[in-house]
Amino acid sequence: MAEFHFQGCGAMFEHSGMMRTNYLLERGLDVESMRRNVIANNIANVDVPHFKRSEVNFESELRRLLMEKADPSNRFPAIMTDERHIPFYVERDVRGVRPRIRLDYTTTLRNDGNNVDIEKETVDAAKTQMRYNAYVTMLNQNYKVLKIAMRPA
Amino acid sequence: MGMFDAFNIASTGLTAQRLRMDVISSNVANATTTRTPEGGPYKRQRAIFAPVNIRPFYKSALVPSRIEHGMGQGVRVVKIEQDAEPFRLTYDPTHPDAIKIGPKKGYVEMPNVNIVMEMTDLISASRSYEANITMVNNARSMYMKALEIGRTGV
Repeated sequence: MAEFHFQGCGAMFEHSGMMRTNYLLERGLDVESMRRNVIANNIANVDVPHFKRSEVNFESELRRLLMEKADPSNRFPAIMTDERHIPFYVERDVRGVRPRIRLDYTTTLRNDGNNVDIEKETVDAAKTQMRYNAYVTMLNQNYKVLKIAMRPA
Repeated sequence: MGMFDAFNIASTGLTAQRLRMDVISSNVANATTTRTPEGGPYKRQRAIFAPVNIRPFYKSALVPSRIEHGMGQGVRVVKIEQDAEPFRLTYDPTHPDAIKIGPKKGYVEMPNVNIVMEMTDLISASRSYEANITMVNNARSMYMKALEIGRTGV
């Protein structure tokens, strides 16, 4: 954790919770724009036979990590009888969570083997857009608070 | 990952659907054409699509584990293929292109274009085009929102 350097901000805020929020928001913006690209690709390929849609997986892994962190009972248990045993749970930083593109290859929606549902993709695109807007608003709010804190008394 | 990936991907979709519409309108325009430079009546054409990236797509659930799930780069038209379906025969002995000899004497070979099918295809292409337009608008409003980052106004 200590060797990690925040992108675009100095060492001054490295250990404050505010920059963690900032980092997560930035990561959220990255993920949403990636998701938008994946959805655009799905929609562009809606008429290609045997095309399979992809989706971006990020929030569920982040949620799992946070839940494991918050409550030890959520961690996958390991019976350790020796001090050299390695537990299943590894302490990880939220910054280690990366978005993954998953190919949805098990389902088929139409006769031609394509599984792009145009309504679902459009709604997902709208959701992506709204989340993106929310993240930008929150990021600005965060900067605003930071500005207030830096104002001379 | 480029900045305007979503635009580029959606625009490949727009181009492909527009070309599909062009092919359909060519089919509809030539629904009764009995003479072509290559001889015989007009053959129905159709646009064949394929994804741009090299990523394979599967018919079965048995996917090898070594596949890299990269992001796609849109759609492209591989080729415009001629439909091999048999021609429609219409009885019209006065037609200049009517068959003169044999058991089909007096019949005219009409193109294998089914107008109803072309119209439904046209609706499908038009809807897909609209979906791609939605993506362009979506991406644009997200970029506009991104320009507001840091504009805190204090």
